[in-house]
Amino acid sequence: MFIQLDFETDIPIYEQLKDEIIIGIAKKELKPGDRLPSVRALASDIGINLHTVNKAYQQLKQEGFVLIHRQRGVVINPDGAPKADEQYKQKLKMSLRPTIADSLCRGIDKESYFTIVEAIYEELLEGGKSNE
Amino acid sequence: MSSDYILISIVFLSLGFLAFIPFVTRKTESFGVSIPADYYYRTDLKKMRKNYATIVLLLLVIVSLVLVLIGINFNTKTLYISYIVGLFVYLSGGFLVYLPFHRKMKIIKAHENWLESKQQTVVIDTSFREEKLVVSFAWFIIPFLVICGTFFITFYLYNNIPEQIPMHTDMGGKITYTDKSIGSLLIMPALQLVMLGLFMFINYMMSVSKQQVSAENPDLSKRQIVLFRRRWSIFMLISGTLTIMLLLFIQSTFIYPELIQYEDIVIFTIIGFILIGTFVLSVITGQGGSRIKVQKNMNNNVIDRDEDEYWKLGQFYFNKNDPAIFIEKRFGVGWTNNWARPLSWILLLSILAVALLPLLLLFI
Repeated sequence: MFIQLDFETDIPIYEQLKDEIIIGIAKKELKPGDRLPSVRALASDIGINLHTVNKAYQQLKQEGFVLIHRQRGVVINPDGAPKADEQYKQKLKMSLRPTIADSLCRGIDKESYFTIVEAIYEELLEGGKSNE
Repeated sequence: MSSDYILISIVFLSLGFLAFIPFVTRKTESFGVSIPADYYYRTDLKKMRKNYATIVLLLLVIVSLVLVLIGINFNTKTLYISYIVGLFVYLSGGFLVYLPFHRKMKIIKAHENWLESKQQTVVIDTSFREEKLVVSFAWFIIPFLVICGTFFITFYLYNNIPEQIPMHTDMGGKITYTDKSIGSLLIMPALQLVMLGLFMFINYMMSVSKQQVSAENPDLSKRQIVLFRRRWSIFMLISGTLTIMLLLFIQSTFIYPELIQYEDIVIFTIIGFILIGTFVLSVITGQGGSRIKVQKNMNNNVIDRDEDEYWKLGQFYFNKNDPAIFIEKRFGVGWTNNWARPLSWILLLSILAVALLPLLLLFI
């Protein structure tokens, strides 16, 4: 899978990296059990500090997207990410609230908001299939 | 005509390759400055490449003419020194010719604001290292067996070897001899081992060096890079094995002096093959596979992250934030080092040290 990082936005690189990997998993471009490059290899290929990559991998591990083995390196969690529970839904609400508020202030009504959300869902569900 | 003349002529002809470097770089680079790929074919950039090639070839012709004149008028010793001086003048002259082109590119880029409308992006493939990038190390058993053969014939036939072994033939055809000793007979096998180590190291380097997929066209670029590395790896295995076989042949001439009559033809064939092969492979593959044609599907909104500030004079990479040690050359074919990494210097010095090691055997 190709990971694309933008070096001109304010979004930190480790966050972009993390998001790209989660998107890859959602799109099924990264499948359960797939291996990810080692910290050193990925940092060299991108041309960034080892800590940046390490930070992204550690957070992905904490959230259950990847496993970090001593010998096999970093692999996509073979059992898939943990299923959403109440706690997760609570967190999701919290993070959506400000963005929905932002959209509301800018005059995006419920319907157009849902259209955007639907389009993103479609794109992610489509994603992996075009590559097979 | 002595064989050395032909050899030196071949070497100088192959040096003409320096003039064609701007034509084999990646399309995202021009004289050590990164550019949007679609600007590579602009008329002013095309003209710069042509001008550079013309000046460098002219320099080569002048240096060669001066050397020929020295060859006619002076003795061979002066000529030898002149060749080394000529080589130095040509290579540093070539670099001096490059500099104003590099500076001009930088000015054009800044002046026309090439970066403004593009999003600077880095694209990498997470499964890149799962591709078959280089030949398996198992193949290096072949040159290793050749080295074992060299050891074997040397010491199995030790008593048959004449007391004097020829070390060097000068331009006049005069041969200098060295006394036979274990040390002097170990020079060739030691050289072979050093070369084997070096070739295996380069093979490893090709597999771990920074992937450098282009943001404008990741799919195409990845395929080009994979082919680029595979082809050079195969070529290096073949030419490395041939070089090690060449040293076996030279060692055999110590044991069977009558073989010396075939020495020239063997040397020219092998060195000729390697030089022509390098030239052909560079031209058809290009740096990073840039000359391998695969269909185009460009994204014109993005551009590779601009790293010009880390490329001193457009040729020397110093980026202390980049953990990569090996990276593709910007102006040339092959790889260079991230000189901000101490490991790069350690590697350079150890290669120099190991390369000089066989000479020590002469004093044993």
